[in-house]
Amino acid sequence: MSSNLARTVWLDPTLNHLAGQSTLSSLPQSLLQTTDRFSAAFVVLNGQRRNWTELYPPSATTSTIVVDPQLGSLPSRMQPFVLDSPWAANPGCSTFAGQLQTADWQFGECCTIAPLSEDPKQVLFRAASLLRACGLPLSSIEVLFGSATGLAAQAQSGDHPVRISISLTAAALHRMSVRAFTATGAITGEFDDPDLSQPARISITDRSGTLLLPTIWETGHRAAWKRALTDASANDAPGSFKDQQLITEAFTRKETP
Amino acid sequence: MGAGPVTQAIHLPALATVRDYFTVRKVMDTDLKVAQAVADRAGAQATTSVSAVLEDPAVEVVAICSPHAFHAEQTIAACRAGKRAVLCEKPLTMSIPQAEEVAAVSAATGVPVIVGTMHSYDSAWEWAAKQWGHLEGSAHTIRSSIILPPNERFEDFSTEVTSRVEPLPVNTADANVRASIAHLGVMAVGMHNVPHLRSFLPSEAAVNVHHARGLLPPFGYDVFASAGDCQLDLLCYMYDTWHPKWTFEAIGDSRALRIEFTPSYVKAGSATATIFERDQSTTCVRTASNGYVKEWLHLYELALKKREPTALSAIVNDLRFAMNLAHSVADVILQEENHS
Repeated sequence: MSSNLARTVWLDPTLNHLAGQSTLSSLPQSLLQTTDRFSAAFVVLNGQRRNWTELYPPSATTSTIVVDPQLGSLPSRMQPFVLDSPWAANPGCSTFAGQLQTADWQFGECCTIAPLSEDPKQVLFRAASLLRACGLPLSSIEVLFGSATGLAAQAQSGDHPVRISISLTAAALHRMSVRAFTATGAITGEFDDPDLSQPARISITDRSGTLLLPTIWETGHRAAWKRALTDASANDAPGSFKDQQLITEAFTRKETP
Repeated sequence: MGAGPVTQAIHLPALATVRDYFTVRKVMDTDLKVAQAVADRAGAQATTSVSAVLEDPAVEVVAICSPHAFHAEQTIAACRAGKRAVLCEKPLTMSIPQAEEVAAVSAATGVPVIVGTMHSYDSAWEWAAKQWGHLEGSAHTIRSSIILPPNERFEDFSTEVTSRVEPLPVNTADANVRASIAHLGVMAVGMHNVPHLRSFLPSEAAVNVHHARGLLPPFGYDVFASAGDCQLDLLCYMYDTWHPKWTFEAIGDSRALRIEFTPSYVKAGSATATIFERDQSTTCVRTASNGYVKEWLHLYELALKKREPTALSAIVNDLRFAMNLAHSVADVILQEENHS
């Protein structure tokens, strides 16, 4: 991707909501928009479009970004893609994951407050993606309580229990937060509106105090572009499929007496 | 009555800020040395005798800070002795029949009794409840997250504790012990948020525990429960961190409340509360008086009959809810551990 020759990008025209605007506003200047999805070097797909997987992949050489894929839409055999999930694409996630790698953590927690218009299952999918990006990939999920306005789940990330709480409201305090408790403190990530570049606040609390790690004023959309442009091995498809499978199975178990 | 760390680090420092209203007359403890040391500090008389406190007409208000097992008996005795008002540390009693007996004696003697759930008296909570309006059934999710360093650290921030009792060694490899520790966590710490939590629940909603895990050391719990349609997310973890973080959230379809409480023991002023709506949020200012001080001022008004006492039935129902929750949490921990 070092050529200065015009590289083209096809943006899914259904990306007309705020995420689409934010994706467009973070479009690298080296890319030109095209209306021909088959010749484009990059395609950006709206994962909320019901049939988005039918548009994918236009060709074997296309780099693909999938914005907020809908739960239940990922086929088991996916071509590589960069996940632009509202929370998991946040550049603070890799900071969190880096800290977690060297920490002796005991249990984790993910608390989410999402808009009332969302489906709690879909929010759980985003929470699982966030946890994966933060270095706590889930290996099992049990949905304990669910309603139209939220859910509670108990999960495992390897040997570590992870508690997940989701609540929906129209009140303006939407956020996702992740905590991994250590023997003397915690690693904490607080993620605000995913379409804004308000930085995630990643902090480490230990005996010496609380350290706020450098903040990154970059949207998840911009971070997803950067991965697509620079990381040839970027492939979030297997992880996303695994998360989707776990959630689907968890709901099937919950709904089957 | 009972001159342990709660009296030394909480009530005497709180009373020192309301000297225009209260004078400490007597300090009772079964250990005379402790009673004397604490009484000297407060300029009061020491005694090891309950009846010496109850029979002294100069003692108008009694605070029961003795071990839980004595709460019911001493509260009833204080009511029957005709005191003006009684503050009983939480939990009020160790059983519902005992609590109902306390309520009956309080009603018969006309002596108001309050329970030391200090955050219920916090001005931030009072502000939030007034701003919110009708609470019952108005939230679909309640989150209580109580992260605390060990109590001793905050006792030492508050005062110099005389004769601290060392905790007994426990066998945490035993599932029954772990379940009991979680039970204690609900009754001793989680209880603080029960009045807030219950205010939002439909009055007859029974609690159903879906998942519970005991957290060690030294104690805590990780609980997901529901009451009616309301999801309850309850986390309490007391461990070797310096960083306390005590939050209570009630989330409804169009409004949400978040309260950040100050830790126990210290005189750090009130909590702060924020109510979030669709396009705005409102936050109350922090006041200098914490829940303990407000609790004593409340008691003062009750003692002088400047305020109508709250029906003890509400306190009994809080206790019933907490006991059901604590029992269910312990049961679920044992079931889940046996299952695994």
